[in-house]
Amino acid sequence: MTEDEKLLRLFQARDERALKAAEQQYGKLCRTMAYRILGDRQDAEECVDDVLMKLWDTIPPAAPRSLTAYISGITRNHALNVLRAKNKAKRGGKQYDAALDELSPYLKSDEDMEDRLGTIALQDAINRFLEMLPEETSMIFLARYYSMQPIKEIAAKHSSTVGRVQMILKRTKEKLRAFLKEEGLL
Amino acid sequence: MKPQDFMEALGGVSQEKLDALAKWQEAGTPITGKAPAQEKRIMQTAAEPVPTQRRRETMKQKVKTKASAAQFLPWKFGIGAAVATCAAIAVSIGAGIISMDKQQQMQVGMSGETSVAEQISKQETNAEKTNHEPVPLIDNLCAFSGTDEIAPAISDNGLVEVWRSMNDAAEFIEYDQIGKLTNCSDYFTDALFAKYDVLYAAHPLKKYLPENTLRFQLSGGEFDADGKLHMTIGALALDELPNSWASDAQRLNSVNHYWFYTVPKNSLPEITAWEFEVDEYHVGELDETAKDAAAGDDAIYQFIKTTDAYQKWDAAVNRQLYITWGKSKPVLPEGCEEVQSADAAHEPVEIIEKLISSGGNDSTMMKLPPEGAVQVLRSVEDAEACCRYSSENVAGQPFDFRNKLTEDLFAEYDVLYFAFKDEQKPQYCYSVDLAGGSIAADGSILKLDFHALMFDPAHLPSDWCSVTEPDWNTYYFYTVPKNILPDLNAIELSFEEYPLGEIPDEILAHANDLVDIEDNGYITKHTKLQEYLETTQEYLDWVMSMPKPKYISWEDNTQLP
Repeated sequence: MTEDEKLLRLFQARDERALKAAEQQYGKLCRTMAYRILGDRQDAEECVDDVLMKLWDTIPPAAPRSLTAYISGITRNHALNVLRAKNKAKRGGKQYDAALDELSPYLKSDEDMEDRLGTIALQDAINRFLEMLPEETSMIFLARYYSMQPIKEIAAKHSSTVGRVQMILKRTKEKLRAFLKEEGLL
Repeated sequence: MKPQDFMEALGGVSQEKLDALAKWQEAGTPITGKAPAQEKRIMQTAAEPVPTQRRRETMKQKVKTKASAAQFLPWKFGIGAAVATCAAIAVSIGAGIISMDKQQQMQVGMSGETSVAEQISKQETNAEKTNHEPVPLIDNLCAFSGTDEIAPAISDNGLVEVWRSMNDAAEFIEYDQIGKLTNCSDYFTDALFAKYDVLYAAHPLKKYLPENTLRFQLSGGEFDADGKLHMTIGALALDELPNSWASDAQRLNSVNHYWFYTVPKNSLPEITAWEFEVDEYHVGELDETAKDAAAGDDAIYQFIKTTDAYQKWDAAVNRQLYITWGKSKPVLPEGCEEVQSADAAHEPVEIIEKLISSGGNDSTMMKLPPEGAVQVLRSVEDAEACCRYSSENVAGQPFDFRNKLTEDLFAEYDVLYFAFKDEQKPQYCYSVDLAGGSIAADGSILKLDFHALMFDPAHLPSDWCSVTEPDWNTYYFYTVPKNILPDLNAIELSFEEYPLGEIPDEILAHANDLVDIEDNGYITKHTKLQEYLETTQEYLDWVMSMPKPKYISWEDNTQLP
């Protein structure tokens, strides 16, 4: 049985040791991701606690295939909610700000995206766009803008160079802009 | 839309993608940077090199030398610490310990109780495949020498195993942890085995190495048709060891050497039969200066480094190492999937050395057609016929590359010549360098991959001319192994772009001002721009992106010459 399977079993059995085990196994991942978005260690720490409670609340019935993906998703969304609630949307974590700055030249438009329907359409378009990309490119794009991993870290972890990752991201953002224009979302 | 909207919407990315992302991140899958159409070629050449420089650095960081440096003479110059470790041991092998036939491919040992032929016959279809991708020895995790007290005992014929999990490494770890003799066990973790298998090879030194060995290094291995793995060791030897070095010889009587290399997961079968072979490289006699004990070890090392034997040995061992397959490929164990393309046609050809790269134009040097030129030069006559001035004064005269394209050179190598017009390079390109190439299926088209260092168009030097001269060309000559490449008649170029960052205005304004740079005691002139760029991370990334060594691979079903 893998560590993830053991952890899931603890959650399913409503065994409180699950929280400690999850903190040990995924605390660092959560903390790093939350800090990238929030840019504040105290906030990030609180976010980790909240994520652990969300795990407790959602598993079961949820039985995620990949705990890493599941916990990343919860952390990211929760950190963004915290950021919004604290009205820090313009100045968040360093990597979040950097990601916004990088995307800005490609995504600026005069139209606001306030309504829920617009967000759903955008989510749908993003998923279709990612499907169109070569697998590796979509992974690099998500590592940078979903996980908010610094470019240097992506390059180092995947035996590549900063220049190469930058170039792949640059081309992907150009494609994204063209795609969103075609979709009438830009 | 604001970027914040996009970031928020990205939170709704599909679960499948997130699962894939988690796996990709956990696995640390190397980025190829190629579009899918090209990925196939990359996979075929999965054996494509890990840059030598990086490998050396890794070795330097990781190798443990417990058994050697303290006891034996340290080897001070050149290559990585792993080799240094070996050399430190090897240098002490004394005269008379072993006496061996001085043939290049010397068979020195044999082991393995059972053959895998039986396994092969079970899967005849697999066995009939005759071309398989070589398996790269990715990283030298550690290497050390020591007696049977330092690691589990090995037989007189050595031992070669593939370790696939911590269980396989358990005996060694248990041994190692009694007194922490090598620290090698630190490298064996579940995380390591999640990504790689480990090829473990160990052999007695005295039995296998020739007399007066100075340095030795594993140089690869090959499975023969019966499934036996032949491991090769490159050994650099002197006619006679200096007296000051010979005194430790006796200590090696019971010393073994142990190697640990990571290999791609599930790429090797269980190894049931093996053999160690030695390629000998003889330095010969030391010159008088080196013989003079007072001159010290450095003088000896300096002399050795200049010898032909050393150069050949260095080229043989300090490259990406592979396990290759002979006529048949043994069956992989149950549950193992072949991770590399099984239908790759041929092994990649190493581009050995850049002899010449020169700029020039149609009117003063060799005139080029718009599509460029390529030729495999196999003799001085080929070179003279190819390299002829086009200027009016000396039209038709051989171009003066003859001091480099000599008969001696062609006795050993062929020369790959190609040239192209500058207008084929990307616009705003500061510099290009060759990363490798491939030969298209009909065997006549050479596809060349360059890495181009690119200016940001918004930050160009003040005197930058973005319009290239239509008749300006660049000519390249590289040595390649003899009689491997087919005759080629066309080139196709591709440029992978590496962007430079913002360059300060004061540098751009004086980009071409010359400054003195000290390089190894020599003063050379660089432009201010060049001096600045060489300090940037982008420049370094570009330099480090170049594979070392470089290879020309073969596309599917390429016909050999």
